[in-house]
Formats: sequence, C-alpha cells, structure tokens
Amino acid sequence: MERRRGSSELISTVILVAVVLAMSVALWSYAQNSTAQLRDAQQVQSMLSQSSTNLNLLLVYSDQTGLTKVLQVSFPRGSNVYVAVLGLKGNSFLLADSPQSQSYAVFIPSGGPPISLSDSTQWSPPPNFSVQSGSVMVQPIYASDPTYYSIDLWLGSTNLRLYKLDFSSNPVILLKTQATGQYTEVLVFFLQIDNKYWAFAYYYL
Amino acid sequence: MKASANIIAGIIFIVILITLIFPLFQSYLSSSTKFASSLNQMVGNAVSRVNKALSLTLYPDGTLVIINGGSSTEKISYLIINSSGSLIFIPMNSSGLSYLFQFSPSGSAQIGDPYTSMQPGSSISFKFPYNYVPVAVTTVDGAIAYVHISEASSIINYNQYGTSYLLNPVTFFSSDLQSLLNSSKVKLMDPNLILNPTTNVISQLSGGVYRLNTISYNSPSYAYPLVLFQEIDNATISIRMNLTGNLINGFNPEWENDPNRNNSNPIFNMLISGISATNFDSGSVYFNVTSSDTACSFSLTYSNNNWQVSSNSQCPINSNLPSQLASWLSGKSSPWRIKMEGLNASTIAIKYYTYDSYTNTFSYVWHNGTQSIGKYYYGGISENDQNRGLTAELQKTSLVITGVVNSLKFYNINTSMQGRPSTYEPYMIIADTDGNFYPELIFTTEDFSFSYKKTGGGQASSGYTIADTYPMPNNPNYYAVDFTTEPIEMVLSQVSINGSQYMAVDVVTALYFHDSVYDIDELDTLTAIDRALFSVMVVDLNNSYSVVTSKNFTYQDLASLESTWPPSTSSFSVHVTLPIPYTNHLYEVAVGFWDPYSLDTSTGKNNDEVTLGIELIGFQLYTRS
Repeated sequence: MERRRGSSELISTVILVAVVLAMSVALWSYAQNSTAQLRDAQQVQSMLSQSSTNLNLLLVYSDQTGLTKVLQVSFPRGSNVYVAVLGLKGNSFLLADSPQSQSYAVFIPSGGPPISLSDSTQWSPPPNFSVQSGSVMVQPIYASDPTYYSIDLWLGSTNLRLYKLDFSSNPVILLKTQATGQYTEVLVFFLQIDNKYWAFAYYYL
Repeated sequence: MKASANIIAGIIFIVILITLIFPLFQSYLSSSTKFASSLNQMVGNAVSRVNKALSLTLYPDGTLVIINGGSSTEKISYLIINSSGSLIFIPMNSSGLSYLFQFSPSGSAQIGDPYTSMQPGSSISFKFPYNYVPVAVTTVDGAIAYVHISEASSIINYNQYGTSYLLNPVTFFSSDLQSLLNSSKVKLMDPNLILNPTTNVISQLSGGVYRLNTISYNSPSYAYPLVLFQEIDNATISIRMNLTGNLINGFNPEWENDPNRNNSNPIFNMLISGISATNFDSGSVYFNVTSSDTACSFSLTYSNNNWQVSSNSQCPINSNLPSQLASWLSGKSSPWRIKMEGLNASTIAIKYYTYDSYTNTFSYVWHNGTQSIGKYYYGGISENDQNRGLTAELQKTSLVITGVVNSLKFYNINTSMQGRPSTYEPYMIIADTDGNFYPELIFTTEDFSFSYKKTGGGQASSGYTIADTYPMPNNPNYYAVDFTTEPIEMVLSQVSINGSQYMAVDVVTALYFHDSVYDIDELDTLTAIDRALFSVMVVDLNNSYSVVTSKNFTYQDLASLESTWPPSTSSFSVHVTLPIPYTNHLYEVAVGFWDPYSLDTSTGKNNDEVTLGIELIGFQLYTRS
C-alpha cells in the first residue's frame, strides 16, 4: 500500500514537471515570436522615421487659388518614394485620385529645359499604378492613435493610385500638384516595405 | 514530497503570472517606441524656407550674381526665371546647361551634376536679356533664395518720408542702333525692328515701316520695303551736288563721348533722303567712293541732266551699285536714302534756306564745318499758291563733302517684296544735330516734300497734296508715303521698380518733333489729330510686359511744340508722372514711337511724315511712405 502511494506521487510529480516544462516551452516560444514581431515593427518604424526625416519639401509656387502648386521634393539618391493624393473629411480618408480617373493630381517635368510652368505639355504624371487599399498602411492622422491601419478601414476594399518618384539619379524632383478644392486634400508619401506601402509624411495640398 | 509539490505549484503560478504580464510588457514596449507618429496632428504645410547664405543680386544690365556668403557648401537645384510673365524652371545641372549657356554663365562655381555645388565664398553669374527676370534659386535641402534687385541709382535725399533716387538718364552715345538699343539701359520689345533691312530680315518681320508706292491705296499690301542695297565700309568719299530732298547732319556720338576728341576735327553722322541731285550753278558735280575694305570704287559725274558712271571697279555683292546710284540721283528710279556714320570730313559744307530769328530774315547761306549740323528739310521743293497765300520755294540743298566714312549705306525699295515692311533702321540715325553734345535718337519718315491744301486741287484728291510725293517730268510720279504698323518700344531696363516700394515715377524726355504738314491749314490737312506718335509707359515685368499706366503724346500734343525754323537746333522736354500699381510686381519705364499716318485715299487728308528725336530720358522715383 505504501509502495502504491509512493508510485502515485511519483507519477503526479512527473505530470506536474511535464506540465511545467510544456508551459515553459510554450512561454519561451511565445516570447521569441513576440520579440521578433516587435523587432520587425521597430525596424519598419525606424525606416519610416528616417524617411520622414530625409524628406524635404519646398513650396516653390502657388497660384492665386492655391490649387496649383509646384513643390520641390528632395530625398536621398537611390531610393524610390510613392505618393498619393487622399481626401480628408472629418477623421476619415476619402478616395481623391481614383485610378479610373483620366485626370491626374501630380505631375513632373517631361520637357525642357527650360520647364515652363504655363506649358502643360511640359508636365506629365509620374509613373503610376493601382494598388489594393488593403496594402496601403496609414495612420488615423487626426486621432492620437499612432498605430498603422490598412486604409481599407476607411475606404473599404478599393484601389488607389500611387505615383512613383524615382530618386535613383537625382535627389531632387519638381512636382506640380493640382488639387480639386472639393475637400481637404493631402499629399501622402509612402515607402514600400514587404509588399505594403507605409505612409511616412502627410502634407496639405 | 509535499514540499516538492508546493515548489512545483509555485513554479506553475510564476509561469502563469509571467504569461499574463509579458504581453502587457510587450504592449508597453511597443507603444513607447512609436516615435513621432504619436503626434495628434501629423499633416504639415509645405512652406518656402528661405536660404540666407545665398545672395542673388540682379544688376541693371541683366547680370545676376549668385554668391554663397555662408559657411557651408550650398547645393543649387533649380534656377527660377520669370520669362515674360511665365515662370520657368531650369535645372542647375548638365541637363539645364545647354539652356543656361545662352546666358553666359561664369564665376568660380561650376554647374555640375546632379546639382551645382557652391563652396563658401564662391560665385556664379549669368547675363539675362530684358525679357528674362531671374526670381530665385532652390537648394537640394529644401530652401529657396530670392533675387535682390540692385538699383543703378544714387541716393540724393533721405528723410522720414522716404528715399529719393537720382537715376542715370538714358542717353544715346553710340551710332550703333543694335548695340545701343540692346544695352544695359535700353532693351527693345522687338529687336528685329532695328536690324539692317536685308531681304532675309524683311521676310521675318511681323510689322514695321511700310512705304506706299501709290496714293490710290493706303494698305500695306500696296507697299514696298526699303531695303539695304549695299553697305560700304571705310570709304574715302568726295561728294558735290545739289539735293532735292532732306538731309540730317549731326555730330557722331562716339566722337562726342571721347574726352580726348579733337574739337576742330568733328566726326559726323548723316542721313540723306531724296529724289534727285543736280549740278551746281558752277563747278563740277560728282559722287566718288573708294573703299579698300569692300574693294569697291566708283565715280559718278553729272552732265546733260543725268548722272553717269565715269569709273567703276565692280563693287562686290551689288556690282551694279554705281549705275543704280547714278539712276537714283538722276531721278529715274524710286526715292532713296543714304546713311553715313563716322564721317571724318576734311570738308563739309551745306547750303540751305536758313532763318535768322534775330533779324527775322531768311537767307540761302553756307553752313561750314561744325556749323553744318542740323536738319535740312525739303530742299528743292517749291510750292506757290498765291490764292492761299502759300509760298514755299526752297532752293536745293547744296552739299559738299570730302572725307573718310566708317559706314556708307545705300537704301532703295525692293519691288519684288511687295506688301512687306522694312525695319526702322533706314529711318533712324543717332547724331547730335543741335550741338549740345547729347546725340539724338532720330526717327524720320520725312523724305523730300510736305503736305498742304492746294487751291483748285493738286496731284492728290480734293486739292490736298500728299507729303513725300513728287511729280517727275518724263517719269512716273515719286511716292514715298511711309507709315508704321508696329511701334518701336524701348524698355528702360536700368532699374526695375518694385510696386510695393514705389508709388510713382517721373519721366522727363527731351524731344525734337517735326512733321510734313505745312503750317497753313494744318488742322484741315490733318484731321485725325488724336493719334499717338510718342508714348511713355510703365510696363509690368511680371505680366508679359503689359502696359499698366501710360501717357500718349498725340499729334495735337506734339504739333504745338514743333520746331519749324530751319535748320532747327531747338528741342523741348515733356514731363510725365506715372503711378505704379501697389503690388509686388516689378515694373519698368518704356517709351515708344511710330508714324501712324499713311493717308485717307478718298480725301487726301491725314497724310503725315514725321521726325521725332529723343535726346535724353531721365526718371525719378517716389517711394511709398
């Protein structure tokens, strides 16, 4: 009887130890995974923060209505940056520059020199393409929440037009923007990281 | 055993505790590293950050000097220019170099790729024509540096109400129209208007001076252009003839501008327009030219009422110049013009019907040497209408010249270019015709005869004669009715006036005016008295040089100031105050002149040929208080 009780306690102890070991392994694994995710997020945030610091935007020209502007965008050579024009209404984003639209909101010089402001044939849209809203990450810019969310949270599942600014040969690009004036429009700068486009700077048009 | 169970239970508790706490800790870590994006307001405004290390100074002659006065290297990305009201952007790298090259870049800094680096203390400069106004440069680090306008002025008064500036007046100390009217002080809105009227130039003109070859029509399509037939340089000339036509003679501007000039040996500039030349009462008559530069040498003599070529070395380009000139002087061809610049005359004498205001008498006398300057109109023209009390009988203008001339130009119409205008060049000369040592920029469409109302009708409609028409015995009538379709507009670019700084500009102009309407029934002969012949304007550099304020001087304004006593040496001045709009635009003063009168073919009225001389243009600014 004494031997049976001793054997039962042994089994109980083994089970407890096994449970403890299993929980420890699970906890370790969870900790490792969380740390990796945290490191990745910090890397993304670091890249976005650096991009935000590296970006220099200069207002060069604005017409009487303020709808047409010429901006000089400076960014380190060898990089690509993407821009989109988004509308703002309240705390919500709007689709301001639909890929289906034939009119464009952003232009770069396509002729010259010299580049004449008034000669529309000397300005053409930069290379642009359509992306799913699910792959565009923005922050709720009027809230205190710094977290990135997919923009489909506001726009639903739709497509956005992104313009590619190629700084591979020149750190400076002249940008002519054309706002509609229908609502508050912002020029948003994105960095492409792992098939997603992360916003790192927002400017009123 | 019991103790070990407690230990195990304790471990399990700690693990559970850690499991619960870790995500909270992770969440804390995560939120604490969300950098600057945790701002409530993340949307910014693009602004124009000003770079203060770079200084950009635009000088009155259009030279822009960029200096890096800071302590760091500045990287210039774009140069921004206002070109006739439109902004243009020029990359300051190799892609913009070909365009920038036309503005003669120079300086210690070099245009490079992908931007222009300017070391501390380095500079770069460009020379812009009048219609390019540099505005700013941008730097790679996102800043902008604006152009500062340098004023070519001297401060003469400063008090609590502001600053007065004495600005260098515009004068005309050069015979060369092209260099003078595209200089640091004067720019032409249409530089083509003063080019030599070659057939190539004429075919490019959009407007200019038309010469009617008829009085039945007044349309440019019935005009022939006055073209440069030939120019002969550095020629020895000897001329002795009686002229039926006009003659303007004055001191050469370069000679007057030379402080070491020999006052006893003046140099002259002369413009002769005429229909014919004949012999003196006695002595030989000739027109001899010898030029080693153009290998051209010929002699014309006069006999049997005609000019003949007595010798000819086959002038290049137009080998028939001598025979053509003989034909022109004989009155067998169309009216002609001859321009001499830089005439160093050992002999110069002009005999003309001259008024003496002290004795109120007219006499036909010689004007020799330095006294030969003046404007001699209508030599050889005689009109006598006793019914109207009109007597104008002018003897031919005698001309004797021996000397060496830098440039001798011959002009006549080109009948194969009907409907085309000429430039103003054959109609302009720069010379000091009144001897006050300030040369006049003279524009004249007057050639040889005046207009007036004639009893019983004359050669023109309804009894009105037409200026610069002449009946030629045994030849078709002569017609040289000139008029313009596009004015000469000179922008006085020595200083740009900022509308935010200055409220008005005073413009003072010393002028000479003469026209072909004879002084009996002037306002009957010319009824359209409100046409402008001379304008003083303020133009907006930031709006395509549009005129914002102006004063037009009409025929009515100028006729009362006309100088008619031959050979006139008097001038008058006009004073205009023009307001400057209160904007941040840049403005400049401009003056323009033209001949808006051809003729009314149905009535014969409103035909006028004019002479306008500008001696000096000065201006002064009023500051905003």
